[in-house]
Amino acid sequence: MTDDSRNAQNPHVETELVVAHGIAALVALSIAAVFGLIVSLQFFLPDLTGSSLPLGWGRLRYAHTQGVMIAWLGNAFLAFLYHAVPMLSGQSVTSRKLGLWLFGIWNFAVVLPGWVLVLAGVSQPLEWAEFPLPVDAFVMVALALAAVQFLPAFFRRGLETLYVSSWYIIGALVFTFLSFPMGNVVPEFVPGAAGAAFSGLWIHDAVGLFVTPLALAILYFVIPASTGRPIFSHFLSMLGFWGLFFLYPLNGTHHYVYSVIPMAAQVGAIAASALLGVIVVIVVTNLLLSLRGAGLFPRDVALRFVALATIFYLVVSVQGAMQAQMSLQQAVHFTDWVVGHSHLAMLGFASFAGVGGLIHAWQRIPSARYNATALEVAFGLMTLGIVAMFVDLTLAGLTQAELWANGAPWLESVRDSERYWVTRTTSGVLLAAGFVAALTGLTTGPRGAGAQALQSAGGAPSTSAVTPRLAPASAGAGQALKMSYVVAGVAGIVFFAMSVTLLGVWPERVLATQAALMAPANPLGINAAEERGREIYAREGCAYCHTQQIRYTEADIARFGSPTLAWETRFDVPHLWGTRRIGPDLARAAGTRTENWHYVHLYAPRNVAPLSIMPSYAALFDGSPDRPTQAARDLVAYIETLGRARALAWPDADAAAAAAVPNDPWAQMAFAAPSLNAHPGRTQARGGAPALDNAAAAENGAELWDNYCVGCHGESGRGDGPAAQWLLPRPTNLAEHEYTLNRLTDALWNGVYGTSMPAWRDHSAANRAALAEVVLGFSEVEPGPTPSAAQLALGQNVYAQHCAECHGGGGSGDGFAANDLPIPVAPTDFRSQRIAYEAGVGVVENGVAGTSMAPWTDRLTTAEIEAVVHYVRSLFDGDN
Amino acid sequence: MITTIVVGCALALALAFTLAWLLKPQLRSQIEAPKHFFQDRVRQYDRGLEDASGASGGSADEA
Repeated sequence: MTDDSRNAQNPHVETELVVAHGIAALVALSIAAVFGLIVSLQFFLPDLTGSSLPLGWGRLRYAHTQGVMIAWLGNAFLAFLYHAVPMLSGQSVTSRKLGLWLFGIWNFAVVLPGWVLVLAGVSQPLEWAEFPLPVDAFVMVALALAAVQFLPAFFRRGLETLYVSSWYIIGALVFTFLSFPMGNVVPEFVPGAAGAAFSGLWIHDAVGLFVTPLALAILYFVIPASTGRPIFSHFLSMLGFWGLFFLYPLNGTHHYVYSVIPMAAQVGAIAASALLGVIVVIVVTNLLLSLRGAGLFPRDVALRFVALATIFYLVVSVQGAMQAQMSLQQAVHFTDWVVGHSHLAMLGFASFAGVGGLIHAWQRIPSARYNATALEVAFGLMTLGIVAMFVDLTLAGLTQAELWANGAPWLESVRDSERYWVTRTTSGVLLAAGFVAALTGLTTGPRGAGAQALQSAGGAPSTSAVTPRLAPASAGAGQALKMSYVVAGVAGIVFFAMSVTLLGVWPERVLATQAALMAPANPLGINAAEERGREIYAREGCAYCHTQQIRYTEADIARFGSPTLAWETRFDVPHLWGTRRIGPDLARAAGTRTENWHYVHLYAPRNVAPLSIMPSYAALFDGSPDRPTQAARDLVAYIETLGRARALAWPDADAAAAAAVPNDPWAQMAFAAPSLNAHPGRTQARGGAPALDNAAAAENGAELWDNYCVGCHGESGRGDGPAAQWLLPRPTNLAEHEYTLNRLTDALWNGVYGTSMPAWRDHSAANRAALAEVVLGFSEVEPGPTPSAAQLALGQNVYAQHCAECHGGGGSGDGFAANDLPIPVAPTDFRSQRIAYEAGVGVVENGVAGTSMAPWTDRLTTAEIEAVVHYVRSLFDGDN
Repeated sequence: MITTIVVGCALALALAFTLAWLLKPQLRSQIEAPKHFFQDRVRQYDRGLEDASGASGGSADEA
């Protein structure tokens, strides 16, 4: 490739590096988009990639976001810097050789190994920081090399002559280097809530100190270069620059509003977010005024991308400032609203700026291929795609927020989201097609056609007269400006340090004190197997669907239980708090489900939860759920640690902690929660169920059955659902049982303790009544042979001798041994349920696997067995 | 306390910019100067490209 830009007047532009990074960027974007598409398809085709762990949802999700930020935007920004820095500074970059090293490290020591390692299961479960530590080290090296490559050019002339894009580039390279370790390294050493506080800093700094400044550098560069007119106000641009760099680092904690992180840090971050919104309005106003005269639809496609990026920046920033506010955050956090926000930031604002910048540079590389038609197509597809995706995910988020706030069953929010997820994938296809079109546009077509396209668009600036507009600065004023920039630069560093201190270091101290005050003596830790399970949980991205933090909100307390305290997260290195709830929060998962249920759920999730969209983890099993590998055992063991320490110490430890911090209203909110574990499916002892009224039953009983029960009990209630073969005790064959409404009311409210039959307390009384009706309708129990008086007398005698100790003298399941059974499944209450005669004989002869009911054929004769079955059937008294 | 610091510092920053704008008129032209320098550089660069393109025969090829 020739470099036609080499001439006596212009600084040397490393066009080969522009092209190399540019093509790498667009190839990476296309790959990252494919990762994203597969991930999005798995929301409604959860078995799409089978049980392949490398192609599992979590690993692909890690690869998608790191691909967009590091592989795509990182390369795109570097490409643009090679074009822009010589023009901004009037100087060449430091070294072409250094550029080759930087290209090599960025792509072959960061992007490729990062993707390979993440897909191989070596990663960090940290948002925007998923590449593992060794890769992070190379990112730091690359950032240092980038600083050496690009920054010296700016400092060879006075600070007072630096254009705003130069400031953004300097700021981005310096502050990204400083902030990158906050989210990528610190949480690997600082546990739990404190680690999350540091992680939150990076979640925002990644966007605010890396992506946004470099995208804005492109906007401030391309707009005047394309329109041929200077920006509206350099003063406003500098006000915006310093405002953004002061305020962005102070936003981080707004990702953990209503968490245990000190409220002062949360409110401070919220205030900074609101102020940031004001600054962004100033920035965007200045950019839009700079676009005046370019028209609503500029003919230069590069300018069009950049103009739309400006609009997206306004929308996403105002939205961000809004959603940081507590009232909105309470509702929409963890929903797809936030996912829509982040997509608009990264694939709308930043990517449109990135593509616009690349096209702008390409138009000025005579040796570069340029396909104008493909780029027009790219603009259309990308615009349609991102607008549709943003609107769709915003609506999805509002839908989820409403359902969660109303206490609807969790899976209803999953079911109602499906239409939005289908639309999201469709919009993603448009976006991905747009990315491929952009790649096509910059790799096909005639060489040098970019300049012609620019001329024909009428966007080429006049080059007829190059005369300085201003007289040279007076020495005094120039010195004052220089000093003010130096002062502001120092202040920027101070503000960054302040953000780390106020939102990272100080909260860590407060949380440590809080943990010391509130933790029980010697809380139970986790063992080696559980730690191994935690690593599996982390590498598979479980925390990206299931949060592990119950927030200090009424909705969270009602659905999940007492909010998470600081000491409960003390072993979480790195933390697994998560930022999205596709599945329910798991902070109190311990003791909520049976081990059996977990194995089936991991192996074939829809067998126990037909509406679930969880991926299958069959790869952790040796062919079936009853043959878990050590990895599956470890994973389930880890899940059973979530919330365990506090549950074991409860309620005494909570009472002591409450007394220790009487004036902490947030802590008191945790201790005043009605229940420690409010999971609506958690089984509990019989009793206390609100009465059901069959007259008020919902009409969709059959649908409810299909959605929630069919996996275990089967379509006709015979206990032959797809999960049944792996559950112990097996699901009840409802066709051979007759129940009282009270018994069903109790089972639906409390579940059946010790079995995989969960409670359904999150369903309305109308729904539970409808399900009870369905169950009653399954019964095929017939009167059976009529027993003689002698048989009943024999049966009563046998019962008194052998059965009453468990089932109670009156058959109510309340015998003296009922509470001390080796397998803690409550004995049957014969007064509220009656088994078919033949089935009853089978139970006595064979026992019930998975319960304490043993076979009796070695101790009872056939006549005795038949007699006792007749007797227990006679105990059934309907609803009387 | 954190909120006070954040809001206070942001206001101080805005105030400093505003006062500088109001009280130092000569600073206005100085602070605006870089956008013109940049514009000139862009023009110069594009003219350099045009010159180079003209010298080498110019039009896009299909290579």
